[in-house]
Amino acid sequence: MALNDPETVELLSTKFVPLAQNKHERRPFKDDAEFYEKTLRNDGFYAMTPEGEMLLPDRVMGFTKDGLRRKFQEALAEFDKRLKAGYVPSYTPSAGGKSTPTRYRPPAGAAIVMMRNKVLGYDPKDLTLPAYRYFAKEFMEQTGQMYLVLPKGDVAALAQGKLPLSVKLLIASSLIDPAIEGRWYISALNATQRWAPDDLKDLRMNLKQGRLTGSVRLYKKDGNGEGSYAGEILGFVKASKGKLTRFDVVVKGEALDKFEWRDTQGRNVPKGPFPMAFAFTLIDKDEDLAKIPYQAMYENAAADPNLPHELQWDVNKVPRGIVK
Amino acid sequence: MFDCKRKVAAMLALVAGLLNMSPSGLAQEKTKPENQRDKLSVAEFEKLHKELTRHELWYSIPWKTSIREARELAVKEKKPIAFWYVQGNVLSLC
Repeated sequence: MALNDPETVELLSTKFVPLAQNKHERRPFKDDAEFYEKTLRNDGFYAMTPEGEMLLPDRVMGFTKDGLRRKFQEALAEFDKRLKAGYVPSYTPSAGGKSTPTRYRPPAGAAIVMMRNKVLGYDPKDLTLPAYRYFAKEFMEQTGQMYLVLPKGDVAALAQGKLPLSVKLLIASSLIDPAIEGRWYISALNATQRWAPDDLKDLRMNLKQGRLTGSVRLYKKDGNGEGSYAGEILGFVKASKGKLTRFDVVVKGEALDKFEWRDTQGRNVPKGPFPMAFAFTLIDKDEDLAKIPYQAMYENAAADPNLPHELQWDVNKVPRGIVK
Repeated sequence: MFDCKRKVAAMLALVAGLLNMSPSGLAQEKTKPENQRDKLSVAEFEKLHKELTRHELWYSIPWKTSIREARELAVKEKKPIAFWYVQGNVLSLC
């Protein structure tokens, strides 16, 4: 990833105000929308003045590390040139929006958990889609990320060394790919492609003296094909003075994707069973909580993997005797 | 009575057949059964958890997610804005 360059990270952190948004994000203020409209409305990086003027003639996209850094250096030089010529940055916010939250607030007493997944192995010959040819390897190997909510009651139970059914099901139901296009069919895209309660075929999970162990097996069959995931679970849960301080869980297993479904670009997915792991961890540092988007980025907020969600399964629809 | 028993037996056979062909049965044929999967060791847990949850370098950049906040800060600090926006999950961009 071109952005993973120490000099570029330093440059953006100290000389720019870095702003990250999803294309589909709802912009609550009139001037937010106007600012956004001044870009080319196409994926990539834009160097802009606070008024929304472009400092580079085009978006920055598809560059190498050196190329990306040079573009930002050019933009900074242009901005400094304007300052020296007497330009004074200005911005007057449109009225009426001061009370609108600009930061995600977890429910009282709840804990936020970050889940990331990763495809651990695949045959490079399976990366066949022309649409992804420039970054197919990176896309396949990139971690996906989504946030979950442990409600107040679950947090309290975990802090007391108990493992509620809802926590078990939250983990099982979240073994999906947050990357909603281009990879695994079992993704966060919509309810159809997520695991459903009756896709759960076996779930064993036990918490003893802070050690969480178990296994899980899921299988889905629909009009597009079939797929499964089966894995082993190991985790560690700790509490201090009645407060949950650690919730680290790893699920490692094999996935199978025999779905014929294609999104707009198609999909790159391993042809046979492939290893995939999921990791869960508490997010409680202020700087990390601040990076959680405060509003939905997709039309369907309930399915938006960027927003933290509680268990979305109806517990009553989980087949009896499956969870042990 | 005999017919009734035959019907019950046929139904049981049908159910048994359906169970054998159940989705979970198919899934088991294609991925390793539980008794053949390696249990996760603590060492492997530590390695995977660290690898998956670590923040990549770019994540340490103090991203703003609100246009308004970014513009206000840019004016205050007399800095340009580096606006990164993507389609889909932000982490999917490579």
